[in-house]
Amino acid sequence: MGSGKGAAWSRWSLMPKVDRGFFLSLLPFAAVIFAVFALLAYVLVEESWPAIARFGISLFTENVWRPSERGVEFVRYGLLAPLYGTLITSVLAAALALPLSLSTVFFIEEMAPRRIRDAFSSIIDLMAGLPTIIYGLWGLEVMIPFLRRWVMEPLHLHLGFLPTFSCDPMSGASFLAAGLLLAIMIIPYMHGVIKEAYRQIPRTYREAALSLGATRYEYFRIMTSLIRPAVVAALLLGLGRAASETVAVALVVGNAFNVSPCLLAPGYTISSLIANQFTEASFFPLMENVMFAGSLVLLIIGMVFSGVGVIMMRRVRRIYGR
Amino acid sequence: MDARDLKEKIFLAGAALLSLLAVLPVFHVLLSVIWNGLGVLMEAGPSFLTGVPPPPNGGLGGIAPSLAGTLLLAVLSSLLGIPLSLFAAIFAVEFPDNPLAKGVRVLSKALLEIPSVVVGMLIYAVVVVPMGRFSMLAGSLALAIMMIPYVTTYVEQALEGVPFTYREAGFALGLSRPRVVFDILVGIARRGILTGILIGFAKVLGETAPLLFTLGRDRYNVPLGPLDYGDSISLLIFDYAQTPYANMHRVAWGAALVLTALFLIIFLVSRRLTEEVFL
Repeated sequence: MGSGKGAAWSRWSLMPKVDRGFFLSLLPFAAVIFAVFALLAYVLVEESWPAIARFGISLFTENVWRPSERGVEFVRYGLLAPLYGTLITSVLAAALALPLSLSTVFFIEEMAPRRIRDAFSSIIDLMAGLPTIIYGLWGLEVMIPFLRRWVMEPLHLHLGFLPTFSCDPMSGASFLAAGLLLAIMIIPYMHGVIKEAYRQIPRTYREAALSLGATRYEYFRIMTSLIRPAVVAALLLGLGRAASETVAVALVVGNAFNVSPCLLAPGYTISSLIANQFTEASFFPLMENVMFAGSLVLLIIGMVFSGVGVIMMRRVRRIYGR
Repeated sequence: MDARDLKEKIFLAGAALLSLLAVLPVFHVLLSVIWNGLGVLMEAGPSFLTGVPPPPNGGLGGIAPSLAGTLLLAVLSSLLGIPLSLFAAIFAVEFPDNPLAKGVRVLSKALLEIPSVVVGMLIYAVVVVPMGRFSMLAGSLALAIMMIPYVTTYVEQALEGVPFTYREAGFALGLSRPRVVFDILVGIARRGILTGILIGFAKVLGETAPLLFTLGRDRYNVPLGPLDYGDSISLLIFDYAQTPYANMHRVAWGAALVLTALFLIIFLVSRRLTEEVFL
């Protein structure tokens, strides 16, 4: 690691003169990254302000979408439906993906023989990198027809008395479809977070558990309890990922302003709303501003989640001394 | 067999089953793309790569402008994003205690947390609106921002992995700091750096959301300059999958196969370069 020993030079006052030129010549590139964030903050706040000033808190607590070309006094917007859809689809996705990601980590680290392990890791990397639009197309044309026929209709038929399955699955595009597709898409991500923590558990802990005669089930329970902050981090980071996913969700969520507990009903998420309507938004007064306000909320939620997630991961690293 | 053994058996079977369940969808995705896409490509022939898209209900046509757009965007965004990421990463690694460099290290990762569609909106607001037009340049800028976190992560790791003795050897020879970095460290870390570049390239190849409001979606003309309107395969799939026309859905599947093939090539090359790939 070069970082530790280079440290003394890297403060400006301690820096040898010859290094200062190097520092200054690299500075513009670094400045671009700062500028991106500064611009982002400025643009989001400036563009969302007119909408927030006009509608106040009701922008986030009402479900209305009444655009009008006639003038600003005729329009009314409330983002409750897309906010609700974002929440419900990403919670569904993270809840489904967590047990699967825990399994894949345990499978790779403890169960699979070396060859299978390498192949399995490659597949998970492939899952992570595959363009999201490919998942979206598959979700729309392959997953939804299957889901509608074999999952949604039976659920509605047999468990229709539950509010979550009470509505008729019309096209199949729904909160459930979006949640499921998102779960598939965030598995590799959550897997990565949990695996990183799992590998930091010191060998002595493993040996201690095994020497006491733990079965592999008990061993798994002990190991997961040792990395509990990382599991929470994986959930939060997975939630953030799912909330920000755009095009795949836009293809399968159904795109309807809907605040219903029924998972079989079509809905909207903030990002799918933007993907679908932002191009036409400039024709309607305030609509662009409303969408900027939505993305500001999305960004803040994402930053908070990932911030807490990173803190959790630091905790794991600190506990195990790395 | 007592209850503990039984529990263990059930648990192991369950974990294996859930792991299988976790990766099964991606196989189905790939098989669906190959199955549906291959039929389209065979029927349309080579003109699928050289022609323009069909009218509704009018055959298969081709995706040449979108394909050219995707490749040009990947190149153009790499020209903008890779040098930036490389130098920013060198800055972060070379001056680890400097607050500015620390900030760069954190922020270049935090870019990952900005939803891709928001990057598109940002470029729309600061590039498209002032210029009064969509353009390949706007699309490339959005993609360049998308690739920064991936490339910087890899470059930082690669540079930090070079043992300190090489650095000392360079200084002992009387080389200046920049010469040590560019002539010695970058050379030793070239594999990791190249992997980062490939991962960034693969990432922008398949991106859709940052391009929605920046590119203009002109899928009948090959973009010839950075200020032309353009299109990408991903956008074409997104739009055609939402049309009611059967032939356009088939074009979308054909395009998906082309995009997946491009992605897989880069993925496999980067796998050859390094064991551990993080996307």
